[in-house]
Amino acid sequence: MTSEGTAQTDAAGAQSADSTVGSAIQEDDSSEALFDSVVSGYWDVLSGHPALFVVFALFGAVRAGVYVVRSAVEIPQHDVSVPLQGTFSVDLALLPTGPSLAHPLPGTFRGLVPELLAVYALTTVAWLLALTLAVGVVAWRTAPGTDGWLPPRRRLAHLGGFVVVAQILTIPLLDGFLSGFVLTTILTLVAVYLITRLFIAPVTIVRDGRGLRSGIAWSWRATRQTWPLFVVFVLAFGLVRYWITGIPLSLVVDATVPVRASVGTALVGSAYAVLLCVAYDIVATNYDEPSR
Amino acid sequence: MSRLSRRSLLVGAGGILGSGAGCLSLPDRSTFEPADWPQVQADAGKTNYSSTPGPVADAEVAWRQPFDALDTGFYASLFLVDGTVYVGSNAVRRSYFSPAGFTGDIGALYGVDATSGDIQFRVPNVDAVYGVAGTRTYTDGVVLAGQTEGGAPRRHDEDRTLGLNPSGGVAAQRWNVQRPAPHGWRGARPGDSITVADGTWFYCPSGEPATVRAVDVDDGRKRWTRRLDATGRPTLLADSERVVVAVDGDDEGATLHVFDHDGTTVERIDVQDSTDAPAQLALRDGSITRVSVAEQVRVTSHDAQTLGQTWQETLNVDGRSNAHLAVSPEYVVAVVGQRRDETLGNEWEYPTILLGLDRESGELRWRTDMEIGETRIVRTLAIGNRTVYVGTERGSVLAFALADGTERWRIESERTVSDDFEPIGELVESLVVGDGRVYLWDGSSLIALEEP
Repeated sequence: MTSEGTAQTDAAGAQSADSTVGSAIQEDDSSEALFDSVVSGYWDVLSGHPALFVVFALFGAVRAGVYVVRSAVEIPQHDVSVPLQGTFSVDLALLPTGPSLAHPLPGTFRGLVPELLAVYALTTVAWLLALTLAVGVVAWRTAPGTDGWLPPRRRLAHLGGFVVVAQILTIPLLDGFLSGFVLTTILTLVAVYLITRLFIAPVTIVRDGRGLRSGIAWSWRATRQTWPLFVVFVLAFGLVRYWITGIPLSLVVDATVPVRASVGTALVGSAYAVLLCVAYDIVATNYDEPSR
Repeated sequence: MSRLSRRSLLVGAGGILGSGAGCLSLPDRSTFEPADWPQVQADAGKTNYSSTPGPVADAEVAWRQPFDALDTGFYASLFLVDGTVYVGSNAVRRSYFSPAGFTGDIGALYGVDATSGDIQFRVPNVDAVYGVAGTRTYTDGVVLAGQTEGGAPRRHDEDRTLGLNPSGGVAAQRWNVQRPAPHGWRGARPGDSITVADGTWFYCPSGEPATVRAVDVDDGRKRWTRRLDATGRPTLLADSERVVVAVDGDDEGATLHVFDHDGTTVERIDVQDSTDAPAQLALRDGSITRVSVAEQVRVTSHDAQTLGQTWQETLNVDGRSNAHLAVSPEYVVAVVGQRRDETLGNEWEYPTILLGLDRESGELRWRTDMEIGETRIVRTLAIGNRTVYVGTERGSVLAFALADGTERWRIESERTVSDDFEPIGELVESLVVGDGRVYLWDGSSLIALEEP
């Protein structure tokens, strides 16, 4: 499936120059025009690649499977549900992971029998692999001029590294780890800023063939001017992710988690992945790499 | 796909299969050592019995560990597992004794070294402690506890149940689930509405009619809930096969219910006796022992599966209604005395009676009229393999031979000039017997007694 022979360009932003979204943006466009281009480009990508839903539905199935396996072997999981945090809260994510489902408490692993630690590790690897593949497929398929479904393996490996690092660094954002309005608000604002500066890194890793560190560095530089444009989208997705965690009721959360994993990941995960790609197109088009 | 990829695939699949095979033979922490006392009344059957001895010929204070719980309204739950004595608040009792008057640091679980009395760890923000449960998931078991997020007035929708690491430390919580917590009732003894067996925590939350919840101790998930057709004060017992729920009504007698561990109702009977005080029950070796006190002390035994009565013994005990029960493999031991509210305007005319009955036949083996003077309100009863221990108000502990009821030793506390009691505080709660010692809570300190 992977098309190693496909003609790729490693030049920064070269692919995005052909993008339907990026090409519509001019240097003197106002912020309002940029915002409109995000929305229009978003729907262009979604309508042009309906199969992306299937990709994230499969990723959702993996997430549901991971939840079911951990529940079956009775590894404690703290189910996430809306009523615990109130009606309005944002569940931020750097990567398109879909809605939050459940997570362990910090003390869950102390004393856990080794076999169950192995089960936890294996299921974590499974869902990180699935996330890497899903993001890789979306970033690759939505780029003009690419063949096949999967990017080259080297790019996938770098993307996998990014996914692992991102998931580790976002652990403090898990439900229940933060408390207090002021601390939560401050950390949320910091997280939004960091996400908008870094969330196109996985796309440039896949499309431009950048390594892990250079992809992060490029994303940081390229979004210096445009990051405020995406704040509202990141927050909106955070709110939608949070609300989906409460469907239908926390009282029957055990039974609904696998359904929420599959459906929520297919809908929200794929939509957020498309947002990353559209954001990349816009940023790459409007960013002039300084000459060294 | 390259050869390396296929090999990686095979290695990965092998790892998954290996882990799956490992899951089939997980270590089991469902049983405890003979010296352990993992639940409030010793075990799932509330036998108040340890197969290991306590002090036999005589006793003295081995150590005392004071806690910052200055109000005697702090009633502690004690457990003994793997050489650690667990001390935590018993919220069931606490909720009925002027909660506004509490002072000190009571919202915590403490682990105390059983040998030295030193505090090993402290887990904060724990409002009630219910027992130590064996699990499949954790090699050292799980401490079952409760937490109330809101302040007074207490709201049950803010209750949380916790599974804690038995060795404390940072991040002690293994699971934390929002759900109604166990509830007590007036006259309840610590742990009456709670029991743990075979990796399942059974308990009754508040509300009428009585409801039984079953919670998996491994991960805190609910297994089932059953609403009973009975209203009153529930007592839960369990063994490896069944759960027994006794519901004492205020006027109309009691009901006994038997469930399988999966919640299937096996049997239910009505027990017709009207008592002022709730009956005491214990489950051992497939038999339920029940002690109720009204005009007479009535001790009955029921088959735990069919609930059919196997024997009954009655004795006249005018004026007493405070009963405690302990059951060894051979003996049913009951102590019957007065309640506190029966002492008002009363000159203590009725002695407290200690009874020993044959567990198989119900035959009265011995009877001892206890001479406990001013301290005749009995608070707790426990038995080791050879000795019966009775704890009373005014800080006294008495020991009797299990075989014939003769007194072996006693520690009687005396009031000091500062109006305290020495060597044991104002009350004796939650006797725990294990490995040659007796541990007790005296209202503000954990005390260990041992043979000199």
